[in-house]
Amino acid sequence: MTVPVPTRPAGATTGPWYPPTAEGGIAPIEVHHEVSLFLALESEAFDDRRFDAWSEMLDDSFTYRVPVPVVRDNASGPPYDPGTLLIDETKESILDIWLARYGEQLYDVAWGEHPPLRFRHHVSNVRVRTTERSGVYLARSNVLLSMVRQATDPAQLGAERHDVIGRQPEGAWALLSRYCVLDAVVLDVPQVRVML
Amino acid sequence: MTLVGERDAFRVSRRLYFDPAVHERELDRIFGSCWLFVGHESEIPEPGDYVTRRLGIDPVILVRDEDGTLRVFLNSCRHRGAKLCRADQGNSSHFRCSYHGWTYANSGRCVGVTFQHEVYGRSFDKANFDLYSAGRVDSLFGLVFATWDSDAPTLADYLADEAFYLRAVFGKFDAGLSVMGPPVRTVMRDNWKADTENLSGDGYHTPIAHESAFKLGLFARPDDLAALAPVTAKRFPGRTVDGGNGHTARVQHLPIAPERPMFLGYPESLWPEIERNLDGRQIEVQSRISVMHGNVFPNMSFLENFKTGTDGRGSMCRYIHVKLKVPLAADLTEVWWWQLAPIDADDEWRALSQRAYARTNGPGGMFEIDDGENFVSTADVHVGPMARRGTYELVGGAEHPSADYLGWPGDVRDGDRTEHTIRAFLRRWHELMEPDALSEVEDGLPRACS
Repeated sequence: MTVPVPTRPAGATTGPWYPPTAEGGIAPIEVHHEVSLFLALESEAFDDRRFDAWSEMLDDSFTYRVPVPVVRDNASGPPYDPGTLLIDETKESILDIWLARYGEQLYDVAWGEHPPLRFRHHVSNVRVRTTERSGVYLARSNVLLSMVRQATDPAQLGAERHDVIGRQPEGAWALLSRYCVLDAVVLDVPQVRVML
Repeated sequence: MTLVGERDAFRVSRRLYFDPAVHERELDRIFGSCWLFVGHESEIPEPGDYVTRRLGIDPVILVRDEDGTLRVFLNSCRHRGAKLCRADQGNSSHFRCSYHGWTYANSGRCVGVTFQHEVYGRSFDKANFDLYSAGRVDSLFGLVFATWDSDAPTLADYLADEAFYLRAVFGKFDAGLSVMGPPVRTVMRDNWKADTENLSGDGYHTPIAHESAFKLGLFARPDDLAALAPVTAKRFPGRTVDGGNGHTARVQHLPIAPERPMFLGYPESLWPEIERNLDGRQIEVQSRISVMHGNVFPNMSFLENFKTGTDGRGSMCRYIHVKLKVPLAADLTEVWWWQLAPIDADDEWRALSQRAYARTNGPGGMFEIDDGENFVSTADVHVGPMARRGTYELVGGAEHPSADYLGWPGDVRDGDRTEHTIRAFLRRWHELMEPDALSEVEDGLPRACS
């Protein structure tokens, strides 16, 4: 399933981009708890640089997209361009191109990756809602990614995640897709290739 | 700073990059006089469409007025200086200041002064208060340029031989190119010339800085090449161009000899129109491209790249981008990134091209990460007097032979592991900066200039 493109009625200046009811109601508290824990463990794996464990939490159909932010002159369009993607990845491209540069085979020549940037995901305000698919949930959360390059001051990048998370046949949870809306318009971070 | 004859030495002071006094002078001498890229026509197709940009570092509005004319104004009310347009983009027939309400048509004409007679009397003439405007605005192949200097040469004269290469990149499709959405803006903690000199035509750094991309198969591998056409060599042949007035290019080809021109990475349905819109020499430039990039002096870089393996083994695609370096400070640059695609390419191809770009030369692409680390590291290092006392020796490729047998315009050299284009960039920089006056900020300033 895809995350709906947000709209507001023409001329409307207030109200949510994603009507909370459109994706169903708030999920049962046990699901909320499991999904919240899943998100925390997912961040932990990435921040620990346990990329094998992290990528196992991605469904094979996983997509990761970040649209380009923009300041519009009206309040009825979203603060980004849904059709223009700053980051557009699949599980395959993440494994083959992105994470490959962190691995032993390429690390020494992936000059921009070492010493490794340190990432810290601060994930909060998790809201889990049901979808039309059984066992599949839409989890919105806020994320503040703290990044440290060498000995420079930490840089922060805030965003809202729209994750689709599902229970796999074997019972484990997996990330089906992640769509992230950036807060900043001018991106002042050491690397724009960020897993939010 | 010293610049001496290039066969012997081409030496620049490191203060050229990291001295705030040099930066301040650049804003006046270079960014106050040159034609500067401000946007693409496809961003503002309709009357009233506007985007906010910077011309040099000055905030401006680029707008298509009600008559369809492209105009560039300082984004500032003539009355008390407040910013007129606060958004990145929009559409408006008029700009009304939020402070006291002075109002301007999108042609820049002052059409309304609030309580004019009460405040300013009967003799006040608002015609004297049109918006501050760029001296000239013009476009070529959809690329919009403006200059603060109303006495500047025409854009065509300014671009000189570079126009030939710009046509090869931007002027080869019947319906032209359009932007893939709004530009991305990033901050680079480096000097604006670091990335600019790199993109001027530095093919020397590629095998080192981008070694991971080679190992990932993003540059066509021997078996990729063999599947396309007879392979002629192992090494990718490259040329570099001094296009005049500080403009430059680098053209690197795949080492294959196809029977007819191949514009690999574009849908084959578009190949006939590419041949139709280019002359024979430009077809030679464009066919079997590996990468082509360069600068329009001073701060616009362009790049057209053919990449393999960005969407799995066997995938191939091309993308075009424009990168503008806004020199906020000697060690602080705001980078604006536009991707462009043929208007007639279908959505599937555009998505493929966007992914290829995003993963390689886009703001989050691996090439940019590796380059950016090098650029930022130079700013990290040059914070003290010892480093700034040093020089850069830029003599690479000085012995490379002329490639005038090709008949391409400009000073074209065989070989792209070179500093040929960096010298071309710096020579023009040097002319405009009139460095004699810089002796105020550094002892022993230039003795000679090639």
